[in-house]
Amino acid sequence: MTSLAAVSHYLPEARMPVRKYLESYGFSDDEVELHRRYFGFEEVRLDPAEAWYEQAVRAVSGLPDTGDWRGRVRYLIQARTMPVATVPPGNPLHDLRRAMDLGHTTAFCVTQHACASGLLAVDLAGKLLAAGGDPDALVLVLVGEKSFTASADYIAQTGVMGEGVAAVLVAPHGGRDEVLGYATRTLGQFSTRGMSADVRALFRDRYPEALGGVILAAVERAGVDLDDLTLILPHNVNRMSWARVLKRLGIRGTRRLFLDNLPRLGHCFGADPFINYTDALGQGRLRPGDHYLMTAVGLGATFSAMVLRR
Amino acid sequence: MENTQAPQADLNGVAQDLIRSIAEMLNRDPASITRETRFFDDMGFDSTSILVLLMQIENKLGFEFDPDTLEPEDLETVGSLVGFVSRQIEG
Repeated sequence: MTSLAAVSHYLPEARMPVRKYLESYGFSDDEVELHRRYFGFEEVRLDPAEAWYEQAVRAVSGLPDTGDWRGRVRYLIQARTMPVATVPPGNPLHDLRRAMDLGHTTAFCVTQHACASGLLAVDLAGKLLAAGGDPDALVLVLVGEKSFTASADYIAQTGVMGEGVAAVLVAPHGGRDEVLGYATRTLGQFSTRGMSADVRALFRDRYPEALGGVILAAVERAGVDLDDLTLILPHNVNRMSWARVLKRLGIRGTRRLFLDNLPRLGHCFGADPFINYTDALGQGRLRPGDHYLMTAVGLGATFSAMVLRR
Repeated sequence: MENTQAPQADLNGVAQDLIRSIAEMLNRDPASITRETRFFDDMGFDSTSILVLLMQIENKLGFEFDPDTLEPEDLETVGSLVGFVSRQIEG
C-alpha cells in the first residue's frame, strides 16, 4: 500500500503582511479587511531573492538522512499549479535533479490538477511504484512554488498565495502514513480563467457539494467513516468556504480542521496539505494509527481528497 | 412572568438599522426591504458583497463580529442576519 515515507518542508524567512501585499495590487480597505478578518489571511512568506530551486533544495535537505534514500528514488515529480514556472531554457527541476544526486531518476511535472496536483502526484507515484515492482524504490514529490506571474499572486475572495515547498518521499509500502483512499473529480465547466460573475457564483454554489463529495468518496474508499478522521489537513483558502463544506458534511465545529497555517502562511499552492501535515505532527496532533484526510482544490476545477493512516 | 419586551425592541432597532444600511448600499427604497427579503435571490448579493455589508454594519456599530460564529443560514434573509447581529451584540 502506497505510503509517505517522509515529508519535510521549507518556508522562506521573509514575511509580507497581507494588507501591504493586497494594497500593492490596488485592493481597497474594505477588500483588504475582508481578506484579513473574514477570510483569515494575515501574512505570507515571500522572498523574491530566493529562487524556487533554492527553496526546493532546502526542503529536500530537510528529509531525514536515513540510509541511501537518494539511490532508491526512481522518479522525481514536481507537482505544480502553474504550467509555466520559468523562462526557457532554464529548468529548475533538472538543476535540482543534478544537484541532489538524483541524476539517475526520471523527472517530470504534473500540473493538470493545479493546486490539487500534489495529491495527484502522490497517487501517481504509488501507481508507478506498484507497476515497477521494486519494494525498495521511492518517488520524490516536490510541491509548492513561487508566483511566476502577477495573476498567480492571489485568487480574489479565495486565497492569498504564499511561498513554501514540501518534499514528499513516497514508498510502495510502509507501516505508517499509508494511503487508504483517494478521490478526485474535475468540473470542467469551471476551467476558464477569468470566469464571468455568473459562472463564479455558480462555482461558489457548487463548491461545498463538490468538495464534500470527494471527501466522502475518499473516506468510503478508505473503508472508514468521517467520524474516524482525527484531522483534516486542508488547502489554506478562505475559511468561510470551509464553514460551508463542514456544514455540508455535518461536521460541527472546526476542531478537526487544521487551519493554523492559513493566517501565517496563506495558500502555498499545492503544498498546503503537506506543510499542514508536518506541522500537525510537530504539534502532536497525529498519533500512530490515527486516520487523517488531506484535501485540495485546483482551479480548473479539480476537487481531491486522500485518506491516510498514521 | 418573563419580560420579552426589551429584547424585542432591540431586535427591531437592529432590523431598522440593517435595512437602512442595505438600502443605502443598494440605492433602493427601504420600504421595499423586509425581514423576509433574501440577500442572494431577491437583492443580488453574492458571498463577498454580503460580507462587505457586514463590515459596514460593524463600522456603524463600532463593534467587530466574530466571523467564526457566522453560519451560512445567517446570511439567508434580512431577518436571519438581524438574528446574527443581535446575538453578537448580546455577546
